[in-house]
Amino acid sequence: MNPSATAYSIISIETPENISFQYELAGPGTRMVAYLFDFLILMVMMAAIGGVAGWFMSNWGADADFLLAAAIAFVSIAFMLGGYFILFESIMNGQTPGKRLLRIRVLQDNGTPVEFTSIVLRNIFRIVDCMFPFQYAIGTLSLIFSKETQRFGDHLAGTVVVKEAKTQSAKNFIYKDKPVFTGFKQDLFAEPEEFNFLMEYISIYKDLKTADRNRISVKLIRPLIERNKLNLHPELRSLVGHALNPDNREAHKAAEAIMKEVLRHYRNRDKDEDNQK
Amino acid sequence: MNATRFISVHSPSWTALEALLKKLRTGAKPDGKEFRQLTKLYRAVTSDYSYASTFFPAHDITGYLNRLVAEAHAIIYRRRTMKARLAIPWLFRTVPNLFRKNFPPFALSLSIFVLFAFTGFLGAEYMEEGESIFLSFSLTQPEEAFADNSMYINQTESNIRSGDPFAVYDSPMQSMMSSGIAFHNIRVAFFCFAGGIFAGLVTFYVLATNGMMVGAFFHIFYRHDIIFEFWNTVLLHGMIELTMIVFSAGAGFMIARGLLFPGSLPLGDSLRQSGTQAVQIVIAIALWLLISGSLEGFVTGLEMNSALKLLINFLSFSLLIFYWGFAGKKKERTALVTAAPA
Repeated sequence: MNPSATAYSIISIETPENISFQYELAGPGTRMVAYLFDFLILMVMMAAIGGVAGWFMSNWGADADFLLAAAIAFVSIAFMLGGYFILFESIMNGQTPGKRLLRIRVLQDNGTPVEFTSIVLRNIFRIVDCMFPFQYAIGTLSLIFSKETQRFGDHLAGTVVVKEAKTQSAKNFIYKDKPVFTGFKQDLFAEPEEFNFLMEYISIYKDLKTADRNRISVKLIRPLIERNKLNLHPELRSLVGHALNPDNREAHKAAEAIMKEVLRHYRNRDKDEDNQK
Repeated sequence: MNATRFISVHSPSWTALEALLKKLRTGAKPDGKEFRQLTKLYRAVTSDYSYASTFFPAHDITGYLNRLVAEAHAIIYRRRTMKARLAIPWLFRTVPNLFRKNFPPFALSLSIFVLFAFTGFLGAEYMEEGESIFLSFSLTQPEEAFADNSMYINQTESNIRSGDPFAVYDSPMQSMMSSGIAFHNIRVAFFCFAGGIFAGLVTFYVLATNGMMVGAFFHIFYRHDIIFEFWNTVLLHGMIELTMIVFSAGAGFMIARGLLFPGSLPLGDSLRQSGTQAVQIVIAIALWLLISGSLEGFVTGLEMNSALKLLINFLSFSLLIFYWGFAGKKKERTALVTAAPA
């Protein structure tokens, strides 16, 4: 889905080629949940290391002094100094385990991968974002009032947190836009907008006067036919002839048949998509 | 052209770019041929994308092309700053030069520190209960300011009387202590730095309280007439640490300067620029604190006479002067000369 159509919030990035593409920004809630996951992982890691160091201390006594020092060093670097975030955002290209889980990623706001200095800067500024009166009060306020949902650290480092688009392949689209009229020897292709019109037309079809019905049927069908003119099957060619003549009842029957086919196809396709989700 | 025909005509270049990106995503470097292919495909796909977003804005294909362009853009315009090869020149050339180029905030922070050290000393001398008041500005912990510190003074006093004035530094688990202290120092340095965002006020507070505390601490030893011992021993533990805290406050003031005096830049850009410059200095400061902290772990445990202490002090002082004052200076000049014609 094109992000600009549905996104809660987007960031538009202009390339040197004067084309702008979009990323969907991660909202405050998503980021909070990702942080909670990271916090949980960090706690488990620290508990494990503290446990190991404590076990050695109790068995070896003061000889294990250096082990406790190492444990303190680890806890300090990972937790107090933001080492956990700095390490993972560096090696996982702007992601931490929590961010990976929520499918979000840190990015420079010019669309390039996040740089090391930016990673350090945005994570040192957790100190400010975490400040009073409660955890992440300032950071959350900054997120809410910022146009690109940035906290203080993001503002300074010039970074944004974006949602990762699902990886798709062009093959999916080729497959999806398979011919929709299979009743003829020549396959017909149609556009989504046309189908919307057709479906709407079918819903009011019975309430229309015959003259209007004829006129609209022709208007709707003609582009479909003209588009496929190049290699038109005789059967279709005769349909074109009929359809262009508003008084021909045969043509209207054919048009109606086509529309029903279209409708059926699209209902099935929507069902398939829903099932896939 | 309708979307279906558009897809069937142009999709070969999209699938080719997809395949190339899949290969490059693993971190492989493109060779010459691949890179030419990448730029060619990138141009083709961006033009397809702008066509699609004009004519089929609601079609799924536009979202797909958007993602493809974004990913290719990220690879083509990436700045490779995370190379291990660049770490040494960065540390010994870029950072000291950044420091010297932005000297005023650091000079400001040093003078604030010295000023408040004097204030602390004079206050301890002339105010009733001055020592305990100023020492209660607990070193480097703004959260615990105004805590009762009389115990610390009493202990130091009794230590002085018993002939070992610096027994506070001796503790059963020294390596653990010094490890903890080093990281605490880095934490404080980060706090000083990040506090700069509040127009430098938080940084100023940390700097001032620490300055007064050092002044008052010095006063205890002044009262007992063991000033030389004070310098020699306290500097052994604290010269690099104190300098680095003062410098990190300077980095905080760099951010405050970006905030308060953006000059001709928009405020956001000015903040960003000062932030990215200052954080590089802060990373170097953290390295200094880490190294000095771990060295201290060994030094603390050793029995030393004052001559050796003096030598170590002199060495670390000249190291500080050399790194922050002179490292990378010559290289920078030659680099400027070679860069000029281009």
